[in-house]
Amino acid sequence: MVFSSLQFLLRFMPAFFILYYIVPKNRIAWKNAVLLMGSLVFYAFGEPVYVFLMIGSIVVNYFLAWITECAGNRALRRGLFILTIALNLSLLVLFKYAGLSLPLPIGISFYTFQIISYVTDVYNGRITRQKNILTLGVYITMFPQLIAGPIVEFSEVERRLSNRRVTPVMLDHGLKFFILGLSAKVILANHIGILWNEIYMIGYESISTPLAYTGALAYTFQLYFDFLGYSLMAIGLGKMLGFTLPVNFRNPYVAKSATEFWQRWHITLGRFFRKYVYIPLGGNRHGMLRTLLNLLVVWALTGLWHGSTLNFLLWGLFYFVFLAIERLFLKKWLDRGRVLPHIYMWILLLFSWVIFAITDFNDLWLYLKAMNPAGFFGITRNDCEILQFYLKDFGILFVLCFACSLPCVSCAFRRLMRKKWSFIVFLPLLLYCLYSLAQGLNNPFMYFRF
Amino acid sequence: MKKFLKNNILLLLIAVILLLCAIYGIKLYRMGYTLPDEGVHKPVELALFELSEGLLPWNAAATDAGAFKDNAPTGSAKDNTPTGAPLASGTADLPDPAATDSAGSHDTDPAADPSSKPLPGTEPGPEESKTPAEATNEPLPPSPTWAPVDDAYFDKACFIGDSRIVGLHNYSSMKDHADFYARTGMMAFNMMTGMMEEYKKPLPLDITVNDYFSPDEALQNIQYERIYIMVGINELGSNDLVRYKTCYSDAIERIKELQPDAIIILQAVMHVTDKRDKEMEEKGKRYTNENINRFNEVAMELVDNERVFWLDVNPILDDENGKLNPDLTNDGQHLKASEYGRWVDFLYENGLVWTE
Repeated sequence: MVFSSLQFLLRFMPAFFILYYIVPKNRIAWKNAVLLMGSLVFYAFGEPVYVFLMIGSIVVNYFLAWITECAGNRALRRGLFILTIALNLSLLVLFKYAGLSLPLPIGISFYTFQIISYVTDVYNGRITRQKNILTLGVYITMFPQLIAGPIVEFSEVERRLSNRRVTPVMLDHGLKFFILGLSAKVILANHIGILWNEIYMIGYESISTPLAYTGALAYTFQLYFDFLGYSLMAIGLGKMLGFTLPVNFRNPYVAKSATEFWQRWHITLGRFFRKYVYIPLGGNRHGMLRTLLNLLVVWALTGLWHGSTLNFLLWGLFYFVFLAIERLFLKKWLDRGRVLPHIYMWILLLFSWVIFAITDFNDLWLYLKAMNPAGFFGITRNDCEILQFYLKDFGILFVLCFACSLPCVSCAFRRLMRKKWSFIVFLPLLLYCLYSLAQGLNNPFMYFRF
Repeated sequence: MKKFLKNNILLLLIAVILLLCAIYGIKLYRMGYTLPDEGVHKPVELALFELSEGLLPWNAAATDAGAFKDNAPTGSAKDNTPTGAPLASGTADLPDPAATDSAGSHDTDPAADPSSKPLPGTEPGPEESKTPAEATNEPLPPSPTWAPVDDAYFDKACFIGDSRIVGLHNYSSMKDHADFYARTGMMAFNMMTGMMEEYKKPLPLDITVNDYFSPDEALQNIQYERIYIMVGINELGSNDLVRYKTCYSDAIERIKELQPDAIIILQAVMHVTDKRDKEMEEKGKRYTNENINRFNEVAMELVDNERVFWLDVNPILDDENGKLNPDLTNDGQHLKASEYGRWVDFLYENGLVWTE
């Protein structure tokens, strides 16, 4: 089930929250039980079989973390820890990369990472083991973040797992965050995604160079608002449950360098790789060469995490190259500039998302050829395509998307949320989303199978 | 409690609106409306769907209650819904007896006349049409045949249809000659009345509908000699063959009325790829080749070979299994821009001309 479906909005969400709020506020264990059951039901709608895989994974990891913590011998602890990590990773590899004809369990990339972060933190003594298996289950399966992040660390929600309450103000803010996220997904991402789909339909051998760039721009916005929307909805749902989930995006498209971009884009994923891969490898403490090597590993893994096809590896390496160059000398200049760094970053963005989007190498090559700035290779079958159709149909949407990528707009929304009268804005947004969904606009959730 | 009320105006308003939707949805369901894809009872979804299609509560109460009153005890509404989404225009509404009649006849005896020509794309068999006693309509010259034609033929033609026709317009040279009244998502249900704006280039000046116009308006103003139609793929979701046929037939009658000298060429709905078939089956959706063929068979029943003819481009686009060739498409249901030439060539080779 995705958040932006009528099934979730009209059935699951009302039913679940009524049940959740009926439970008295001092019965936190009951609330956790309702949340756990709700999350499993939520997951089972999309994956009736793999829900058992997830439950099994939680049980096994619960006991492994227990034994690891109890083991007195250091070597034994280490061995158990490695075993745990290997087990979790092998599941991920098995389903995602082994080329089996099995469908990928939804959200496995996200919940596996949460489990890994949990067992690693237990092993390192950063947190103490969660003794109640149901509570651990709530942390891992909690439906707001279950299938598309943010990747929450146990320490961030530990206190709230045993003690939380939802004030009327939190409920209101949560709802507003949710509506904001839903709008980003339904109004912006879904609509601008039509343009990208249309280009796919046309075939990359038949698009002009300007259309190739327009399409790349459309995809750039689609991906962002899709994912941002999902993260905002997760934060909103979290608030309505009494949790504070970490922020995942901080206006990434205003970044002036790839380094800054990755501090603003999918923050919880970057944090995961930094904390559990880059720093354990030695980070930047062993000279430039070793640092670059560590970066290479991190970015190859980041690329592969997003998908099993080679274009994702290429995409990761693409970022590695630019991050390395920036680290070596470019960053200093970029930080000083005002306009040029943004142009640099946008070119990077367009090309990187095209590599990300097109999984077939022949198609990718065709598209990159069409993006050749000299415009020789983009051969269109329709001379007036851009002006006649795309700018006319999507022009306003592009402007909206651009505006909503700016920090001042996010800021304005956050300020608006606190106003009593702001329902005048949020209610129509919600109704428009429902209208749009009811019209049956197709709804491909892009970060679903990652 | 007071604090709750003060801080959660938004939530309360949403609750009230959803409640109203639920009530309206239940009312619609009682009147025989169902969701296009399923017959299950989902009041809020149903209300939202109908609202998004332009059916407002006060209109529903005034106009449609009468039309559906006798029609739908909830049981019969479930299996094969003849009601579906009423259109803003209201032309699509369906007389009850006709619905049951042709529903019965469709499955049992398709022997009427189109069954004798399984692939009528290239040989429509004009002699067939002469045998019945309907040869009263004599103003047409003796025998229509399919033959190669030139640009002049299409100068007096127009194309009406859904996204496939939009593609034909956008990515082929056909637009230099023929006029297009096409819109993504066009269905027989709303073919004549749906508004569009993109294809207005040749309209004479006396049409002053601020940028938007319907095929109906266009055909009132320009006379054509031949009118090509392809609709049907979007109706598959409703699975409502009866309604498809009735609406298609109504639209054809309307065109005949508006264009007394034109012939109407129905193009078979283009197939989808095998992969698409499987995806759809997996999702439990109805957009499959099997259903396309069923809809095509029904549309063929509208052919009289006097003013309404049948043209099937599928044979030149299909693979050996009778499904759209995957090399010609990326998304499995629309041709790639570079492949529209095949279709255009086919149309040029198969023009309908009158020979002695």
